[in-house]
Amino acid sequence: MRSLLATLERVRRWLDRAENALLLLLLTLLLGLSFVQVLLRLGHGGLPWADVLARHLVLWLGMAGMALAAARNRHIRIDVLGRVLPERMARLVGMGLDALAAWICLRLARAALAFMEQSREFGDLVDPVAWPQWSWLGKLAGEPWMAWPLQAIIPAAFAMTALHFAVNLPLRWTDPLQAEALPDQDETAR
Amino acid sequence: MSALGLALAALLGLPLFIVLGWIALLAFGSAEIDPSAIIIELYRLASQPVLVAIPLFTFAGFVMAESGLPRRIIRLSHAALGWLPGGLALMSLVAAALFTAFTGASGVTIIALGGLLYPILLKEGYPEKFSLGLMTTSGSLGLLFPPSLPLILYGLVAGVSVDSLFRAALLPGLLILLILGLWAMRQARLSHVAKPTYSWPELKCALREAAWELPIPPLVLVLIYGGFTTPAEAAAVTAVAVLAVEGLVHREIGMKALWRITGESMAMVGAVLAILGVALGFTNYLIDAEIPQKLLAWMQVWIHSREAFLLTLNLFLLVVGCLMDIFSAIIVVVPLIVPVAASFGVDPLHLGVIFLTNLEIGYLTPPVGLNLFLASYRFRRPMLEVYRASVPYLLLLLLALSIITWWPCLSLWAGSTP
Repeated sequence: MRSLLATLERVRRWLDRAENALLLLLLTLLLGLSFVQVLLRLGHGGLPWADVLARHLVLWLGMAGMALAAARNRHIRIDVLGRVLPERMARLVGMGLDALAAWICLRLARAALAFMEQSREFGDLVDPVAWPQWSWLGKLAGEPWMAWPLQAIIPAAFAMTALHFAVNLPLRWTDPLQAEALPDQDETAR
Repeated sequence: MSALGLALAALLGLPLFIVLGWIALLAFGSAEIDPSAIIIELYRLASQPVLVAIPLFTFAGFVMAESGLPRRIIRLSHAALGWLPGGLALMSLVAAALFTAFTGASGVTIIALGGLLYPILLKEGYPEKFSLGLMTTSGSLGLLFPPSLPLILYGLVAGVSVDSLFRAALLPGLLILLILGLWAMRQARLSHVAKPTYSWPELKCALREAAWELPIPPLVLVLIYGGFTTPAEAAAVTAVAVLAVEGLVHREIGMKALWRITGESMAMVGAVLAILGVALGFTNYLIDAEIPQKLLAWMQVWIHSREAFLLTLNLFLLVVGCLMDIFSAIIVVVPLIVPVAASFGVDPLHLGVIFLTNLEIGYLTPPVGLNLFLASYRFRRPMLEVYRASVPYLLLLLLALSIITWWPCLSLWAGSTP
């Protein structure tokens, strides 16, 4: 039992690190892209596809952030009742809610997969007008971009979120997973 | 039956995006629509240019909080305003408002600024209760100033232009600051706070220290209000500027801090966007089921005038503010009340300012006022003491709310919604 919990804890940390890395990459891309775009726009230029890409980066950031928020128990809750429960009871209820959340996330992941499949079948494109057929990047990307690879993050993130809820469920018993999202005060108050 | 279970699960602490996702699954299921329709709506997250501002501003705010910026702001405003009666309290208000506007009212103000300001306030002889209340209130003070995240989110959800919302919220935000400022000056006089001497060298030194950061807020305001860039582009400029100043000039943010800040800030963005994304499907269902119209018809039986509607709205929103955090409230409640308010002749911009002021008060109301928890945690004071200390501020904010509600010109001076 104890070794199982330790393994789960390792899984949680490993997934946390992988998602953090993905978020850092996405944020760097978004920041660089938006900044270059501002500079180009000031010179009355601008990459026609940059806005589409930036908006999709936000979708990716949001979805990957959703998974990480589940890993770190940072999702927004209205726990008016949850606060007043005695501790043991609160843990049990928390485990039940985790199971429920994982199940809903799986159903949403399935819906997202269906959505992506439909998009692939119909060959949906991402804002076809905005993609430059003439540029080297447009050629590299095989002309107008298919929408489904950009949408793939949605089912993936819901599946990951479900996994996080499932992994956190047994861990809740030994470690009640701080309910409040509080920054570490010793780190911020220098 | 399932509605009851759902409500119970939500109140016990089922994450809100799961609650909304569940409702959407149930609703689409009973209407025999394929659940992938929920995801079609969620994918709209990738079609809103304004949304780009959210991760960028949040990231910039977290970088600011982590760096030495709070200490430098405090030193500078202390040197610049310290000679006024109640100067220290005034500058706490101004610094907190500015900081909250940039950090998106995530409560980080109390943690980052409050921890530094509170001991200084006590040292200069401000009463403990006054200082505790002041710090607790300051956590959400800048909500109405650009580029605060709740303003952007409201504009997005209500479908009004974020630029005009920024303009509409400016004077109401200043009004709140003015009312609290007058109160602070009066309290300072009553408690005979020592007036610090004015020191020119100290001001010069503080100015030099903050020289790189000082231009950032005016730059952002000029970019946005001057119409030079969209809010999203202003966010990119801010994030790059903040990162350059704190990382390269002051060398306070290294790779390790960047890694941690990215995770923390993007987990918060993910928590907000998950609710927004799932709620888009939920809202779509509400509109299909004509829920706002039904709500309106029901309200028209009881409420006949604009004034009565505004009063009811305020009472309702205060309750919402007690129970929900600001992001969930905006995403879930705004789509319901915008059509109702419009039919009573309330301008969406004015409604936005009223809405956000109410939610600002919600930060201070038990049982789930975020500021109360953060203050109790940060200053190591029992909750009850924090409640009591924030009561006068709560009353002052209610006064400001009434003025904002019944004097629409304050919000609509720069033009109403076209």
